[in-house]
Amino acid sequence: MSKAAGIDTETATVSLQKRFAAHLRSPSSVGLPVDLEERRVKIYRDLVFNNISNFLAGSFPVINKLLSDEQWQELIRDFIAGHKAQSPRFTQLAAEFVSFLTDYDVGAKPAFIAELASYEALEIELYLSDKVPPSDQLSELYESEAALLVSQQRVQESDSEFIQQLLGESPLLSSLVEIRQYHYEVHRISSDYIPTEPLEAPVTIIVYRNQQDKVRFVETNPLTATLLLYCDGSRSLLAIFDQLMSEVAGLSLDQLTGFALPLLLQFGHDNILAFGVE
Amino acid sequence: MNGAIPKSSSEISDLSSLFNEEGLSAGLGLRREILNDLIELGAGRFDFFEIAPENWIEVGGRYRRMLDRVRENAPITLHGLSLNLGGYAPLDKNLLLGVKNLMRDYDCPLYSEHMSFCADDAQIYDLLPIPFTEDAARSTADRISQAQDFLGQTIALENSSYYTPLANEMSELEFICELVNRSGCDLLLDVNNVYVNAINHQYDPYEFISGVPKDRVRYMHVAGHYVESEDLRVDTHGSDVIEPVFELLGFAYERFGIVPTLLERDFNFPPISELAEEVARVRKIQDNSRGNYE
Repeated sequence: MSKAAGIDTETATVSLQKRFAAHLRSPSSVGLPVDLEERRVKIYRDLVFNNISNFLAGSFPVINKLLSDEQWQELIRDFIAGHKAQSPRFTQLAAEFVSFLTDYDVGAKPAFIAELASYEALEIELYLSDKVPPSDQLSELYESEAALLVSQQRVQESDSEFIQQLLGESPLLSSLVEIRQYHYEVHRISSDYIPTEPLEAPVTIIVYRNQQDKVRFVETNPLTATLLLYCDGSRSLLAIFDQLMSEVAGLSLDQLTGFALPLLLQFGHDNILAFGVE
Repeated sequence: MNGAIPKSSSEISDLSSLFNEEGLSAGLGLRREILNDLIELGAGRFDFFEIAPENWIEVGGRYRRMLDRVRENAPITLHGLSLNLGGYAPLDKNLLLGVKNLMRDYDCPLYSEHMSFCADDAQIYDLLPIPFTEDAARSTADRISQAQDFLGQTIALENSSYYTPLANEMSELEFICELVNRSGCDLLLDVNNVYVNAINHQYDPYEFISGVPKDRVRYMHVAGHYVESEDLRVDTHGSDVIEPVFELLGFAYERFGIVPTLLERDFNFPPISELAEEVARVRKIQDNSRGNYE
């Protein structure tokens, strides 16, 4: 439907729907559409608010617990009024909330809520993910605790044949792993630990889903994070170590073998990466 | 089927797999909260289950494996929440693709949606009333046809519960008939919604059911609701089905014949055995209606 000038005109029906939706999103700034009964419209206001509030409280239990009722309600109101959620899927509502918080003025609420939300949403995202992790042909090297210990020992005892074998493999980071840096220790925040200042240096956290479909996290450092991100299955571990040595002054192959290799075996055990990919 | 020929290339959905050996068919809405119980219970108590695609598209991991196990026990139908058929933003083809993939993966015979809108230019995640206007009927029917063409089969449209009409150019029933005639869609008759709407908007629920196009009702819902006040009921799905709704269900079977019927329960869950009993009650009402079908 368009005017001669080519500008879209809106039907009365669409105007009415827009007005009703605008009122539900922001009851305090957009009045009730004319002719509607207040107590009936209130049912819709409550349904919209409670539905989103309950869903987000379930997805972000830590934030929900740390904020006062008034702060939580204000946050949800602001989300409903201000965020243009595009995903029709309820499983994406947490991600919509994170995207809303990226440029939200938190006011008197804790400064860390955007980062904490990102962390809490990551847990849901990985738990629900339909990505298929790589199948690992070398998992017998570290699948059980006992096998892991034996393999780590062989590295520590400089079993050169074993080390050469590992350096020749092209490990692959699992698709069910996310590595993030945060300016607050989001993985520790609770009612007993509420940071007021950002960290001097950001913390690096690996969040992953294991074979038992449990989501876990482990704190790490930027060098290990870089090492993991280089594990894309296309190059040998030796090539990856070479690259790191060219980037980090003073790093030797012996150091990398001594420190990084046992750690990578541990990551194999945790299903964070697969050594034996075809 | 003697109804109007669908005005699209879509096939009429075949629901025969939802019936048990006795020709009865009653299922349960599948929520994550009851997945464990359903797996423990095993097959036999429910003829089918219904899921919201918006909770399952591109979901893997533990929940997906549990859903796979439930599917071994009974077929699954899809009941959508976010397609926004009554809205004005472009129809979300990605969502329809996700629905299509789920239907393929789980061999779902039916996809139903609501006669409502749930978004302005962004999602609101709730079912809002379509204004009953000629404009809205035309545009909604067109969107239903688009969705049916995309999926290659008919959609069953549910008579949504609503608490205020936004516009009353025509009646709810006239609006439903317009949509059916224009799009050739099927109907999901939610009997609890008829009951709730009849109270909320002061009409006779029996008269309403008598006016619904006869050959288009392929599927039904029953649920419990919340009494907000004497003249206002809210369709919450959080309590048992009340007797007058069961009576209305029996009347609906007499008019439309036995069609697969789903019990919706979204929260405040009783033990799974009680839900099974409620579903068995639906089957009994179906059985009792035999021979009374007009």
